[in-house]
Amino acid sequence: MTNKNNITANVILARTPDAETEAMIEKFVQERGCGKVKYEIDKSIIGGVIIYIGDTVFDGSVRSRLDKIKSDVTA
Amino acid sequence: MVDVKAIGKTIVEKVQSANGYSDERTCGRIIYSGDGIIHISGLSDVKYNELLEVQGGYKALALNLEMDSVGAVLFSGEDKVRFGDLVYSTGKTVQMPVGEGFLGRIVDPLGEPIDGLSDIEAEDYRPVEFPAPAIMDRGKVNKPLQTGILAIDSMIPIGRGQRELIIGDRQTGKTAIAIDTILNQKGENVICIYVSIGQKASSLAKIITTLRNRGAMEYTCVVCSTADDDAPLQYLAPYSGCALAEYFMYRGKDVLIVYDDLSKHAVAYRTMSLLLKRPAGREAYPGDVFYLHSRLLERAAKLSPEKGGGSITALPIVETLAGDISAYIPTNVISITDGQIYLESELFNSGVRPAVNVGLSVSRVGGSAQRAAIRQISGQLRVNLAQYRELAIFMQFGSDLDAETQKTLNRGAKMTDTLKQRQYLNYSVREMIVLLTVSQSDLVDKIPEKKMTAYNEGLLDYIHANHADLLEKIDPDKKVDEELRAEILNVAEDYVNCSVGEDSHQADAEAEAESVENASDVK
Amino acid sequence: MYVELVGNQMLASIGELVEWESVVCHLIALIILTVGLYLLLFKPVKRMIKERQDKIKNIEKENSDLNAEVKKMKDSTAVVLSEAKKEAAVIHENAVKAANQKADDILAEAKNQAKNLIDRTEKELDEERRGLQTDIERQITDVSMAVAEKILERDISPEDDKKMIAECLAQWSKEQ
Repeated sequence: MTNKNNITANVILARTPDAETEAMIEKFVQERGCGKVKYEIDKSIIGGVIIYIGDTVFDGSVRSRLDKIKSDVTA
Repeated sequence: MVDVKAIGKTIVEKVQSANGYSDERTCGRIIYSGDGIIHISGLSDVKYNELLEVQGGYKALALNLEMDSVGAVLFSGEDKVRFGDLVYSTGKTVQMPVGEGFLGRIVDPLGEPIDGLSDIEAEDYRPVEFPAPAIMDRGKVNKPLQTGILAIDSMIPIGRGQRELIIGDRQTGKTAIAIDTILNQKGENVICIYVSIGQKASSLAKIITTLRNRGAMEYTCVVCSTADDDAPLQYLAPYSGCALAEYFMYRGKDVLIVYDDLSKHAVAYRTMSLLLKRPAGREAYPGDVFYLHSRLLERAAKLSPEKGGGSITALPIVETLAGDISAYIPTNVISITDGQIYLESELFNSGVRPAVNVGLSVSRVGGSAQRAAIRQISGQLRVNLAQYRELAIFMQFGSDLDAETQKTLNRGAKMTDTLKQRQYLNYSVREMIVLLTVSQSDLVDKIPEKKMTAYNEGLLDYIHANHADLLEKIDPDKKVDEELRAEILNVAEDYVNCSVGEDSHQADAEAEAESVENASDVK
Repeated sequence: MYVELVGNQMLASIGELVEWESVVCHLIALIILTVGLYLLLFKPVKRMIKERQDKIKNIEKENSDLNAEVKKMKDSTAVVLSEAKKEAAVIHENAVKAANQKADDILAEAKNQAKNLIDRTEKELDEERRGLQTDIERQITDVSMAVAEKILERDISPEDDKKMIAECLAQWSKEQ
């Protein structure tokens, strides 16, 4: 197992995070054993957050929820 | 017509029922895509044969697990996926939806209907790759599967739970035998699954029309991958068909599955393997091409009564090139199956249809499942035919024949004629008993040589119209006793006398002329 | 007178001419001749005639026999003919039966095919309708989603966003 402390967590947000949000995210990421956090701003996710840690993706964006509803309805 | 209000209502319902989901997923990214193959970085915990989901709703199958990447084949969206797209693992192997609703339908290897009709409600999902029944779960093959083809049912009998290979060159009637067999299962309580692998869409359409017009679709499901489908789908088709067959088998039903054909399946697998850069072996097939077919055909089995007693009878089809049964795939499949029906283009072209080469065709387990009456009267058939063949080849050199030899030759020719059968003309067991009894009696000497086929058809019509009770009397599970035999021969003689009358005069005249000729030759 | 004289004279001359011995001799000769003729000529001729008669009788008899035979044959032919006719009738009947059955079969099959065709067409029609409905649903969904996106983009405040992020993180932490 590689040392997760060296892994960078990619965090995608819709707008620049304030200090409180950043603290929340960093705390969560550290629980998962990640040392560094890299932020990315992507307007197209509308809201919420997407976090990539290694092979795992945590998708809590509004965009993905909308997509999910859409696929449920049209399926 | 279309109810607009209902549409709104259903959408609202669907939106409301759209439930929460787990946002945490394992994912990787595509680092290579080409020829339907993708390489993915990440996805370190993916398993072999796991189903992957590519961003955009496409499906892929993980086949190569390497240290820092995963090789997978795409089932769909070959031209849509791009470098950098996310790939999620699903934790499942490929699943085939199964259920009674699949009968009468045409589906692709993933279980999606492609006949333009409504969605199929799946009663269950079964993994496409599934271990074959264990040794203790298997029973003895003891029930015959009637193909309705005289040459096969009498000499190469197939039992339920058997794997009988149909092998031959192109255009020798391989598919015709399989289709005839499916058609003959009407009313036999056998579920049929026809798996087409890499077939031409036009010939597939013809087959489906035939099945539908003859009422065989009611108990048949067609799993189809045509020649223009991606190699992974062609590779998957027989396994999907088998999963569907297993569903019925484990519910105690008898299933007949036709794989048409496995040589194309091997080619599809070779394509995938070469693209995945696996090492190539003989004829460029990968090393595990034997296992590819053996694990598929091992799933055809007869279950023991404790397990419900269901069965899967497999009829794999393999195409040879120029009659070469020692090529790689044919030898593989021959060694896996319980026998083969070998079709020859030479026989086919000389009018022997079905073009079964009796000498090279065998059935290793079907004999024990043959109906008693058929076994009794067809026992000598193979030997007699072999004798005739030998004699016929010998006599080609043209020498004067004594009466005995002439008789043997005549009878052999008539026997061969009796075994000829038009496509879609299936005989019932009782009809077979009548034909076999008559064709091995002295009665055949009365019938002119060229008329044997017409005579056989006429005899059956005659019996159906005038002596239906005789057919009733025949019990296929008992030996034919002398009395019954005499009765059959009596009826046949009546028919010969009233139908072959003028023909026989003609034949007599011809025979006389011939004998005169011979006599003059002698002089 | 003269006549009488001539007659007497003639008688006297005959008496003179014909002596009774010669008459007897002639008579005997005549008898011998008659008997000889009878034996040598008449008998064979008679026999011949008789033979001829026998022959003719025979021929006649044969003729009548033949006639009888012919008649008998004629009768038997009639019987055979009637039998043949009967047989032909039976065969014809059988043929008609078989043909009818075949015709029925063909008809049934054709009907079956027609029914199948209708069934299939109906199914396809239903499917078409269903497809249309799904299509409409999809379009409506697309539009709704687009609208929802726009609204959300505009309406989500940084506070909402923050709250949502917090919720997500809390849930994920719990799941672990």
